[in-house]
Formats: sequence, structure tokens, C-alpha cells
Amino acid sequence: MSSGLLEIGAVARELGVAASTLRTWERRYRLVEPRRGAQGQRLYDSEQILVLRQVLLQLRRGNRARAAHDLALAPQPTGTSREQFEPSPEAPQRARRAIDALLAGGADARFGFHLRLVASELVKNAVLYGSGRDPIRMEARLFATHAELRVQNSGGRLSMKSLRSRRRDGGRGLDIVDALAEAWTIDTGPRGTKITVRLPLEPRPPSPPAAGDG
Amino acid sequence: MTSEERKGANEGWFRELNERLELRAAGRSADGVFEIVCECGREECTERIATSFAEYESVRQNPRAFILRPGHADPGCERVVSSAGGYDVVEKFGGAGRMAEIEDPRGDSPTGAGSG
Repeated sequence: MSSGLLEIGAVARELGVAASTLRTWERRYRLVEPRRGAQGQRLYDSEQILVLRQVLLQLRRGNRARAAHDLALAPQPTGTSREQFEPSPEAPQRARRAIDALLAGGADARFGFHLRLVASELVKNAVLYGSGRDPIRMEARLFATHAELRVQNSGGRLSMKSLRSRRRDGGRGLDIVDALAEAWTIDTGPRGTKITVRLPLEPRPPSPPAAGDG
Repeated sequence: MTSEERKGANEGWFRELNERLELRAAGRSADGVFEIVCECGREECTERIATSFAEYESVRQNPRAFILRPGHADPGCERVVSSAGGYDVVEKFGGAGRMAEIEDPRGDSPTGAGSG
């Protein structure tokens, strides 16, 4: 065995699967293809073992083998927060607190500032333009390189034109979102509005808006 | 991070955000006016300020200068140098001033240049 690399038997024991299963997965899905030693033996590095652990995790969640391999490469959140807020003036502040609790003081300070800001602006918009009755739902998921934030409210379809034209009442919060987010989408219809934002841990370089965006 | 450091950081991050808002607004503002966010130290303050590109650029020439809603200045570390158009321009002094220079997104320092 080379330094830092494990042969298939050791990996199989560590993961609790048969060596033949690892060979089958390698042949069928080509997700983890170990290098070969001097005698042709399979040698797995730590990254590959991590991926195999993810495959097993997805299998334990009930996914079939192919889906488990597909999902294993998808980034997994390191933390998730799901909250509901009454549509009151205090909701933006509650959103900030929920983000703080999710970050638990462990995140980059500027990233935390951006995430709290975007969360509070989106929740503020949901209070302003939502039904005024139903709760506002917020889900925040942390990943190694970014956060994904989703804010949803019931109510009628948003008019993007009128939203842009409001200058003083918080509708312009989408400008802040657009300035900070790596990507964001708005899904608005007769039953409500859902905004999803992907916020990078490292801010993207500032750039002028693309034609027609926002 | 002490509360003073946090306030200074907040102001710097709002300034970075405003740099992005200016860039975003460039070319789409018919009247030469766009909206920025108050650059005071209170993180929860996202009050809007309408300013012209020319006025904004004029303030940004001074790395110690920030644009605040009236009454939001912290007299312990900044003084109001002008007041017009619904906002104050403040200049930071002492350690806060030096930090503002270091963190200036338009400056040459490794932490400032391009970090916004």
C-alpha cells in the first residue's frame, strides 16, 4: 500500500460494504475510479473514500444506486434553518436572528453580514407585499462555498414593474439582493411569491448588470 | 470583534455594497440619481438615500468619508462635514479613519482593492 492510500479490502471494511460492490459501482457508474498500484491493485485516496461515504449515505436514505451516485456529488448542506414568521414589522429582525443562530458565530463576518442583510430584505418584502395573513417561510442552507436562501409568502402575483418603481418602502431590497447574490430567482404567481438566492462565501467581483436583468 | 470594530466593519461593508449598487445603477438611471444604503454602523439600518452619481463619486474620493442619514453619525469617531439633499457626509477620524482608509474598496491595500 502507498502512503495515504487504502486498498479495496481496507476501504470495504471501513465502509461496511463488500469489495465486490465497490468494483461493481466503479464499473457501472465510474464515479470513483481508484488509481492502481504496482501490482494492479486498487488504491483509494481520502477524497474518494469521502465520495463513497456520500454514496452510502444516499443509499441509506432510500435512494437507488444510480441516484445515490448522482446525489453523492451534489454538495451537502452543513447546516439548515427553517423558520416561519408572522407578517409583522418584527419579522425582518427575526430573520436576522435565525441566520445568526444558523451561523452560530462560525462564519466569515462579512458573509454573515451579507446573509443577514439579504434575509431581512427578503422578509421585509414578503411582509410588505404578501397577503398580510399567512406566515412567511424562510429556509436557509449553508454549504462549504455558499448559502442558499429561500423566502416564500402567500398573496397575489407580484408586479415586477411596480416593485421596481417603489423607491422608499423596501421594494428596492431586490437591488441589494441583486448586488450581492451569485444568482437569484423569483417565482411569483396568484398564490404567492418565492425568491431563492445563492449567496457566495466569497463575494463575486462587482460587475455591471446584464441587459434586462433585475 | 468589539462592538466598535463591528460598527466600523458594518460601515465598510455598506460602503462596499454601495459601490456595487452604483455599478449596477450606472447606465440605467435616466435622471442621474440612484439609491444607496445608509453607511452608518447599525447593521439593521438599511435606510435608503437618493444621490447623484456625481455627488457619490465626489464623496468616494475621500476614503475616510461615508454617506449617512441625518442623525446617524457616531460623534465618537466621525464628524459631519456636509449636510444636504437628505443625507450627511461624515469623515472618520482616529483609528476609525485609518481603518476606513485601509478598507477602502478603491484603495491599493490588499484588503481593500477589489474586495468589494
